[in-house]
Amino acid sequence: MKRFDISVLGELNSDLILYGLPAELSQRESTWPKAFADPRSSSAICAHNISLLGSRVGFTSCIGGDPLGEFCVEALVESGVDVSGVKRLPGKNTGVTVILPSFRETSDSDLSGHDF
Amino acid sequence: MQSPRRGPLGSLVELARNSAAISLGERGLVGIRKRDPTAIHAWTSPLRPRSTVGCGDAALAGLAFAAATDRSFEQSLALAVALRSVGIAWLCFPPHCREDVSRIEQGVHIETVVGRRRLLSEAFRHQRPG
Repeated sequence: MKRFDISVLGELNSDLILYGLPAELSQRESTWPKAFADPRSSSAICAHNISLLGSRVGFTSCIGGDPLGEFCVEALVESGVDVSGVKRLPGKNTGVTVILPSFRETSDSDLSGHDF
Repeated sequence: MQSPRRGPLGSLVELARNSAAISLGERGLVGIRKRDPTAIHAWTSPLRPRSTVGCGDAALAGLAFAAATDRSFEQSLALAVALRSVGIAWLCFPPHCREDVSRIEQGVHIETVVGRRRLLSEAFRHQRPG
């Protein structure tokens, strides 16, 4: 039986973060250059960070039987997280979380990891 | 001084096994242990965030890792603050930023707060939507 330092049980879906949205949305099709897609949801972000700190992390969740689900799983594997507890559900879709950061959370002077 | 068993964070910690923590936004985290009349305030230099999305998850990772590695409560909060700071820049920090986490962690300020009423009041005002 595998042993982990920490086991994480939670959702696994993709985050779609739409930075820089205007105050009023147009009803027409629009492109957002500041949109950002990340294959890690809350529990996956947590698992990713714990794994990179050096713990053995096991992740338990369900994804749909679609490419998006595999995209999310592959990201966790790259982080060193054990994903043997992730079940694929054929015929189901992996979820997407759409996040609309408020204007207070956005800034023209974006801080990036290179600023550290 | 507010009793540890009264007030919003006092109520929250009663639901926890040992301790509870709450975000003060750019002013860091405040943590409280059961049966401890004081609170611990951990913070680092304020950052101007691009986004705070995922920062709570990053902080939780720090608390979980610290618990698994038997760190002290103060060290746990320091690691959580450091991860949250890095999380402001990276939704999930890349492997090469591990050293940044350690460096920021070393610079986290830790303060024991005895009269914590105002601090906790600010914490819950920060949590309020809008």
